[in-house]
Amino acid sequence: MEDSNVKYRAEPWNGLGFSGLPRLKPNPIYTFEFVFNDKEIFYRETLVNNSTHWRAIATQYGDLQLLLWMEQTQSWFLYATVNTDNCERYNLCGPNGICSIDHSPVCDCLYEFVPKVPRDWKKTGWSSGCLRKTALNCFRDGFRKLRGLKMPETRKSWFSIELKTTYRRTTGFVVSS
Amino acid sequence: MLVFCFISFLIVRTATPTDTIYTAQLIRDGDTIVSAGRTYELGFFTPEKSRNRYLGIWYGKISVQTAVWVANRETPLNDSSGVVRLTNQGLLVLLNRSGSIIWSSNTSAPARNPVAQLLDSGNLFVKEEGDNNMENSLWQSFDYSGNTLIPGSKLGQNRITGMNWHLTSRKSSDDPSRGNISIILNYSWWIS
Repeated sequence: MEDSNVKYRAEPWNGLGFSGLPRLKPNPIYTFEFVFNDKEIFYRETLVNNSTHWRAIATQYGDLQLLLWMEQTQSWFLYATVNTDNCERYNLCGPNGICSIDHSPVCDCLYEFVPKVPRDWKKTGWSSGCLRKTALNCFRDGFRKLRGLKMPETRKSWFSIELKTTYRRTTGFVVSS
Repeated sequence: MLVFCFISFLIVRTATPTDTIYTAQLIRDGDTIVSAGRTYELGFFTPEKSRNRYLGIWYGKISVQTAVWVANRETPLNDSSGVVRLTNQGLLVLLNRSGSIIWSSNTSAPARNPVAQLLDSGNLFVKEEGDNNMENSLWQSFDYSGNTLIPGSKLGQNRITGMNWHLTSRKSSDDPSRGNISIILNYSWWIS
């Protein structure tokens, strides 16, 4: 799978749910589980009440829709969809960009970052993303808390069963001489 | 008396749906296999505006025919001559008018006495007769989801066989052939 082909991501799984799919919560209709062992790794949903009918479909528009059968109307009801707004578009604001659906335009740079290509950025060309305003100096650097974001992607991370910790692969970290 | 018995036998045969396909049996267009609790049915269907016939699984208890799984999504039949049978090797094969195989399942091991059964979960599986352990199944439709994830089916991977469980969209509601969107579980593994 090439990066340019990714439309949406729900990952990473944080032990309770998908970071990129906060609407997936314990509910009265189905339970969900993420299983990984030596043999298998999978996500699965199970109905709480077998008399209800429920299905999830992959659409041609890159969406995953949850449909629930309604006895009263004798039709399928769109219970949930993963593509709720424009910020769900994968990599819309580029690296180090931040998407806020209540902002106009929706893309900003992270705190203390600036557009990599300012001319493009003004014309909604956000894909090149943002760069640090000043380089890390390893003395006055610190952490800043951000709320309501998807956690960074883990496709290029490894998971250690023994340590129960996720490590970022070091190729994402550039050391210059 | 003999004639009467023969007739009543026929009536019983046609009125009792079965959830199992045996090797001697032919499933023709119009026949259905029904899971024990009637939750799902297997048979031939035509999507909304299409004229093609497909072998699929749909809900047994709802008024709108909704296929959750399609066997021959890439190789539709253009008439109602399709026939399904289970071979002695444990393969489900779909034959067209001229008797050519247009779709087939595979098998994880050579079969001795195979049967296929449609479960109330919507899973169609091929097994050795009498062996109800899913772990030993020779083939199962849950391993080959189309565009639909139903409760109990998996998204992910079997790390031993390499079997990947994913979804692929349909071209349209009339055409169940593979579209251009897939939903996959991505992972990388590191065991220290």
